[in-house]
Amino acid sequence: MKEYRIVLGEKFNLPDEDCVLQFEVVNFDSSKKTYNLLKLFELPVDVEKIFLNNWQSWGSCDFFSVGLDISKYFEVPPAKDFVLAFTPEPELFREKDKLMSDYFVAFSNVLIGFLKSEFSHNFFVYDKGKKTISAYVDLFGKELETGEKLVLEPLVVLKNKKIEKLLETYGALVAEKNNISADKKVRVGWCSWYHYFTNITYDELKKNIEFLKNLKEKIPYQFVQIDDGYQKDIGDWLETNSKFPEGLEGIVKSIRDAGFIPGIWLAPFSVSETSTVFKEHKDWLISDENGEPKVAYRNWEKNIYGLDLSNEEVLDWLKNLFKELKNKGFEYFKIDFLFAGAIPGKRKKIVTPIEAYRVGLKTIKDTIGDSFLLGCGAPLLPSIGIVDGMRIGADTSPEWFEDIVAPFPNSKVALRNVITRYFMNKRWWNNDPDCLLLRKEDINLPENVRRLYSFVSAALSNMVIESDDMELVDEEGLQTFVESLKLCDGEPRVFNLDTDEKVYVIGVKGLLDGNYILVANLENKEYEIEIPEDAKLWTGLREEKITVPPRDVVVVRDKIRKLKVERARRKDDNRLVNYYWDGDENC
Amino acid sequence: MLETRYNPLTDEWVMVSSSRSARPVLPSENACPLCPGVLELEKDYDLATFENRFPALKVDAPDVVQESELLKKIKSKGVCEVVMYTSEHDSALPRMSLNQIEKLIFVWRDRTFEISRNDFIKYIFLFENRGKEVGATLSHPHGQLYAFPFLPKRIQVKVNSMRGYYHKNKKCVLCDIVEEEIEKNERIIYQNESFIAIVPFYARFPYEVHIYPKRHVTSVLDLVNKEIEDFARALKVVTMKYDKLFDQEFPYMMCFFQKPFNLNEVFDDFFHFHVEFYPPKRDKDKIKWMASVETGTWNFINPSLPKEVADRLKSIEVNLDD
Ligand SMILES: [Zn+2]
Ligand SMILES: [Zn+2]
Repeated sequence: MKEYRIVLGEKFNLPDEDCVLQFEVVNFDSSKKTYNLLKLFELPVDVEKIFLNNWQSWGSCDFFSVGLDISKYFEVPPAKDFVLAFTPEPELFREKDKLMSDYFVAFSNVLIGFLKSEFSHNFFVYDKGKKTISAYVDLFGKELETGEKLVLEPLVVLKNKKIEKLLETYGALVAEKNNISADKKVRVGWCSWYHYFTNITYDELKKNIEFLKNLKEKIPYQFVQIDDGYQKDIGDWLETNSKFPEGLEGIVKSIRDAGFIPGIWLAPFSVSETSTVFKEHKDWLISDENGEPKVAYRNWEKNIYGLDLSNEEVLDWLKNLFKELKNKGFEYFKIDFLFAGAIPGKRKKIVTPIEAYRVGLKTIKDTIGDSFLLGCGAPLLPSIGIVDGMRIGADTSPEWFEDIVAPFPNSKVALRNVITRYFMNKRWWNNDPDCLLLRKEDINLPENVRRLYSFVSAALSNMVIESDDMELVDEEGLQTFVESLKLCDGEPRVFNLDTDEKVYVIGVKGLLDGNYILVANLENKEYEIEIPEDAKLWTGLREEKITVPPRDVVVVRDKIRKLKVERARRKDDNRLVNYYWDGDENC
Repeated sequence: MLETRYNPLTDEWVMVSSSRSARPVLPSENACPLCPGVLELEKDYDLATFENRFPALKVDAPDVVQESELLKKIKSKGVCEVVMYTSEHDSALPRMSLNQIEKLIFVWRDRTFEISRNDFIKYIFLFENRGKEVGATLSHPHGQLYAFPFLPKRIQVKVNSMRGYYHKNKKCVLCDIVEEEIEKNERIIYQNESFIAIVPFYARFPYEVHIYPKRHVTSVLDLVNKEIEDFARALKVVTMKYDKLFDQEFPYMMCFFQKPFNLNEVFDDFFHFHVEFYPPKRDKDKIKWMASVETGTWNFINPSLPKEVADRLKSIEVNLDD
């Protein structure tokens, strides 16, 4: 692909073919200069809908009508208290005549996207009045000496392809540019959050571990992860509350004794106003222009602040925290509300919020080494190459709401992102679709919706994490889990991301169990879907039409011949030998 | 010594595999090491695979010490396996039942799937050397696979050409070739619903035959059941025709070209899976040598006309039930 170098301010025309654009800023002034928001270019774009992406795990990624007003959702609490979770550019974000898309944007068979975010925040703005899209880079006050040159982060222009090919190509280019080799293993586990929320107790945890242990024959659970609810306070992670009298050691021991990998949730860049860290180290926090600690968000009915990750003392504290957790035996870390470390504000050193964030995240990864690191509530591109897994949607919920824009826990919104961000999976990291909920009680999701969520997550080869009180999961729920696992591990493609009704056609190939087409209906109405030619080509299936009930899923699979395999190692030299014989289960 | 060396003159890798430990002793001089229970396979089997005794690539390859900045080496980290088609010593692809060939396709699929799960594997090359003319010392029907940690030179060339055509024409080059060959129907020696077998327009060897899937599939893993059945038929027909050509066990190199794995690129839209047979013979008792021009310039001189060879191979009648 052709690469163009452009000095910002010089005239240039966007080339017609696929290309990489590398902008540079040069300080031609006679004194040191500070750089903030830079506009790289502005393009006329006259379309009805645009594919937008939010910078962070929970944010939306989808085609939206250009008339959409996102800002209204953030005018009242609780979303009002969460604006910084959804953008490091709150002023622009709130403008009613603008739509923001972070990192990349796509419209009528064109995708423009930044390939990296290591020091600047890179985004696009659609101007509803002018009908233009502008590319922006925020350098958050970076300084250049006279004559100094800064090469900005590269962006790519891809043209003349359908949306799924644009996204996959962009995904691959980002992975290539960041030198990523994401592993392919599917991970299966259990998490305490979506049944117990903060009410999890040690006894309930132990009860569930016992259930999971008894299910091992049937479902290969690998890790058990305790979520929010064990800790003394946000920021005070090494001390447990009264519900966990045996401390973190007790949690680790119970999980490990049952043969599972111990996992823990924490929000390492967040500090609550009641925590010990807050009381003792106000100077560790990101502050506002008056030097006062800046509220990053409100949650747990408290003000939450972000740690200044440019401060060496903070990094030492982080290092120590994760060393302690690792020493106690945790090997799986779900780190949440990570945006708190990347909010704009004053820090000890002159670094951009993105640079500070990456230093903090790297400190954690370097400390835990081989252990699995799952990011959540995290800016996407700055986390690439550091996290092993990444939440790519909003929190799911035991509820299903129709509104696809509102930024609240909602299984529909969460599932939509699982589909629209499928191209990131196994390229940038392992996508975490959020948890599967398979219980029958204490839940407002009927069986069809539970199946829909599980099957789609598995078909797209995401991580598979269940979050239930296992006592409430019956045979049917377990069967859904087992069926889901059979869908994993193939090469998926979503063929109609531009659909107006949320009824998606997913083709999966490259599996020993046979190719299949899955139709996921997120609408509350039955659909007869005409299968796109491309989906038939991808899978080799010839299904013309598939009828799918409301909020349900249908899988049509090739019946393929299989052999039985025995894998053995030679006793003398340990060479691998595979023996095959008839015994096809499928035919 | 087991290492992979870089040739900066041609931008290609050369695998050095010089450690030759003593060959294991066989129970008798004429015993076949591939027959069940003799040497390589301890148990009776229908089909099987095993890691080479003397591999050019292995998972736990030794670390390398760099010679210099200029003369680079990498570890020979990969997989080399032998694929046993059947336990019947005197069988061969053309004599195997369609049922057995379908099972063999499953084995190829299984190996491709399993080995491609390793991040460090970038290319899985399935092949068969048949006959002493191409260096096959054991007549027991078997093929091999090499799983490379890089893209071998000719694979790079193929990928680049196919990618280039796709970017220019927004279509897959092999899809277009299949369409044109079916329309002309001059060089097709056999076809069924899912595959064509042709002496290609650009054949390098006199009796070169390629098998192309009609659908745009990228590897053996993409095939559906019907295509597996049709692929078995195509393989059997081509190799039967070969054996009937001079009424002898016809030697060939059979190479499978699948898309690369574990690289940060979307190959699916332009890489089209295909099989190429390169028979070393130009006549019943004559060899077409890989001599100076072929080896030195990679330029082949084909002494026969593909269409005429196609006519000849097409006219050879075979019975799939044999
Ligand atoms: Zn034998
Ligand atoms: Zn093709």
